[in-house]
Amino acid sequence: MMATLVDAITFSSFLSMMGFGLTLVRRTTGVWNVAQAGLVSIGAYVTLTLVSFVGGSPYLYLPLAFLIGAGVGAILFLVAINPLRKASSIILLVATIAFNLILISIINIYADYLQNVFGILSKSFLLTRLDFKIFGRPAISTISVSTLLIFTIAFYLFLRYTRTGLALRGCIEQPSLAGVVGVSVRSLYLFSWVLAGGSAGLAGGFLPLFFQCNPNIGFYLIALMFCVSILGGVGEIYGPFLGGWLVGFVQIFGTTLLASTLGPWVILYKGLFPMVILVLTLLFVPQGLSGIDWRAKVRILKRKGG
Amino acid sequence: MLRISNLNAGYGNAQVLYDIDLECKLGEVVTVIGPNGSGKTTLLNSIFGLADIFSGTVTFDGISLSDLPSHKIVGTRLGYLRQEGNIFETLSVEENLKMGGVSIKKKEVKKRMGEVLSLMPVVKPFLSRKASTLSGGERHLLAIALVLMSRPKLVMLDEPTAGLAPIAIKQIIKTVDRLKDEGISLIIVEQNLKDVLKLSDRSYLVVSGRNTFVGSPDKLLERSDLKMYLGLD
Amino acid sequence: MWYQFNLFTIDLIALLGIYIIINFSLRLQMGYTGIANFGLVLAFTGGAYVVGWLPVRLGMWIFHIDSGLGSDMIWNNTLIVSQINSCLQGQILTALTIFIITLVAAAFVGVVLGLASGYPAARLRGDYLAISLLALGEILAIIGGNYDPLVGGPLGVQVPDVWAWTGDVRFTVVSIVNLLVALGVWVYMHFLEKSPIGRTLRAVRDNRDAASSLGKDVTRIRLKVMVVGAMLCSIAGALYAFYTTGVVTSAYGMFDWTFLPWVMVVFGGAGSNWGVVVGTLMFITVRKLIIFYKYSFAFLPFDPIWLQYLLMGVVVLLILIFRPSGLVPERVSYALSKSRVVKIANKILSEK
Repeated sequence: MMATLVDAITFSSFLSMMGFGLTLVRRTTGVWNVAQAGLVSIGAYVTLTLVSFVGGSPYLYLPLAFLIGAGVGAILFLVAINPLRKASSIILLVATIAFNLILISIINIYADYLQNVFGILSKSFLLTRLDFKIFGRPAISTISVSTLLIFTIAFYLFLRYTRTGLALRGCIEQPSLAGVVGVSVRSLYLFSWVLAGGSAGLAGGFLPLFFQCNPNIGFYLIALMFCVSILGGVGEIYGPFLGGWLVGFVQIFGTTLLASTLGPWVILYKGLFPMVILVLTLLFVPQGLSGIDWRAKVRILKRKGG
Repeated sequence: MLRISNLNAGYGNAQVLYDIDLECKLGEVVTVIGPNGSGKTTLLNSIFGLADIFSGTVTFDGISLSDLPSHKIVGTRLGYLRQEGNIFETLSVEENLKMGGVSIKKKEVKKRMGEVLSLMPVVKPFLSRKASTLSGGERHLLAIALVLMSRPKLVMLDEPTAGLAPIAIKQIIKTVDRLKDEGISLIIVEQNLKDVLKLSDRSYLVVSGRNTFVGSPDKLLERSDLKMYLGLD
Repeated sequence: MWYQFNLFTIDLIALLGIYIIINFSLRLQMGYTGIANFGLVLAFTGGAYVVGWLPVRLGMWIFHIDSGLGSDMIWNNTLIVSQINSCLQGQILTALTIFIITLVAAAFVGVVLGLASGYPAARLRGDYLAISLLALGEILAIIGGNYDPLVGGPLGVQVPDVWAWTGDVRFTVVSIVNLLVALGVWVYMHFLEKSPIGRTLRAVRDNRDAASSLGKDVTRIRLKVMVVGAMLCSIAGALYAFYTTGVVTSAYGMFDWTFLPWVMVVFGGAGSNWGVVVGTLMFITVRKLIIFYKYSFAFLPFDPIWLQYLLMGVVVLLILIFRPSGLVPERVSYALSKSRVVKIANKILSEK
């Protein structure tokens, strides 16, 4: 039971981190960034590379994974998103799919290269052996949650108390007015893509410590991250965190629960959870859970009761 | 101060303005009037880079505005009060003012906020409230305060009294008057003509994107053939 | 040398036929009606699954193959299928009957899948629709890849070869059949372009509200288009399964059967039938060439297969930025041909 809880916590933290970037760029630039998945894979391979060549704990390289993710995020914005800023949302979606394709190709090529030239097992790797223990549990859970917490708090403080954060909030609400008062909206858009890429890289940096990674994991992650973002809702800052924890817990506990009652074959179908959640959310609550006006619902309930 | 020559502007492929000339000198109050859809808002938008300029020049204090990106224009000490989308609904009143001050140096924002609040004390009690909770008149006042934060030398107001109750209109006019006293030049686009006529030094009548008349308000009122555009009985 | 070239071309033609059908389906949905269907793989896989499921049972029934060989469809699949294949030798009529029946069943399944995915989705806007269809495709893949009784789960099943009677020219015949079906679809698309329905679809794409105000039930139209589109994809999937005589879920991934078609259609131009054909032809040729000459690239420290994906991503980005309408842009379509318009004008003028 404890182990499952710990797994769920780790997985949820990872999902929230991954969903954060997706939600952020959706909120600022209105784009659904499929390439976020590729950015996460990049983070995983940064960790693998450095651990293989330099050694040491994977945790040391998290900042680097963040930076590289941020850099690629910037390239993505400048090369694919900004030139297409006047295009429809579908075209932008296709552009991110194309960029994701490029990213995953490069990762595959790189993985082949690592394997063939250096003999590093890069096509399927799991680095849990490099982890250490905290309170008898793999450190990954504690560290991923703490990182998520720190990140969330830092971002919240940034938005609330800094000038740039304020400008970003204004930009999200009304980009044209923000431009009129002197905010360089394009710079802020670039900033959000950089931050999204960085958080993706960071999430990817954690990945090999609890999940079997392969070069094509970017395809597998696409569906999951959309689930997180859409379920949580893009209207509020806490959306991806809500979505991440819900999806993570439903996935891990749901699978375990069903497997113990219905049988182990359930595990084969565990990929269905996020997909079904996604479709149901899109059909019935497309604005996500954070987009529901809970206060209004409570008011209606009170009125009915009283 | 602000000079527009031969401006042809519009949005994308659609042309809205044809050969517009306009001038606003230091300390002047200029009004732009005309029926709905005549391009008045487009005129202000093109000055601020929110509409596409096909040809013509827009200069402010000698700086060619059409060469600047939209977000740099407020830095030339030009302010724009838009008709719609002129406050940040999800931010508090104080944060709105801070956003207005984004173009001035960080350390001067607080001081400037004090100055603006003394110019418009009506806004003070609302500082911590969310902008979306304000009434119509309060919003317009906040919008003006927002524009003032950037220390503009010239402010363009797009229908500042539109949709307001008479009491609120009076407050706005009073504020606009005070701006004039402070020496800020004004370009006002209005449909409520009678309220602004007494303020203005010169009026431009724009019909279907073209400049149909320019002159003092008295001269304008003498022209019976143009009366139908003025909304007066 | 000639033999290799022959195989190469035949396979190319077979794939060309299949992809042209899928891409026309996409053109119909995206190019005509503005529906961003990222779940093409759903109906495609559905059609293939029908081929994995039905012909075997038909064969068993027709040839009275009893449970002496073991009645489990999946575990004894290979045995049963080879038995059916030997029974099919020379039985042209039976083989063709099985083929036709299965194809019709596949089309039917396509319609059902189209309805199922289109009914809720037809109301969603652009990118949300795309994501939901993507998810639906994934759901089918997960079920099909794990639920053994359907198509053998991860191991897949074999399919009775309904073209075995053609003997040596089997591959050529199948390729030509694929191409002929594709041609049929092309003819259909050609007449659609000039028809009132085609104009309605484009009206819905360009301005939903305007079309709605003119009395067109937009949601219903979108649903119908999605159903037809799904049907086309399921037929393509069935043809592919018959061609490869096997159905393994892993061969029906979203990459090959959703993303690639999008890449081809974006490249060739979603607004033109010729664009679809040209785009498909170019992409398939380049792809097959890269795979074919893979070993010449052996000096590279990585699998050159990835180069093609890299190339695709780059090409799509370039097209979107520099030539978003694709290689062959959409032509303005006229309701009547020029000669008819001239005739009508002359008639009116002479009546004056």
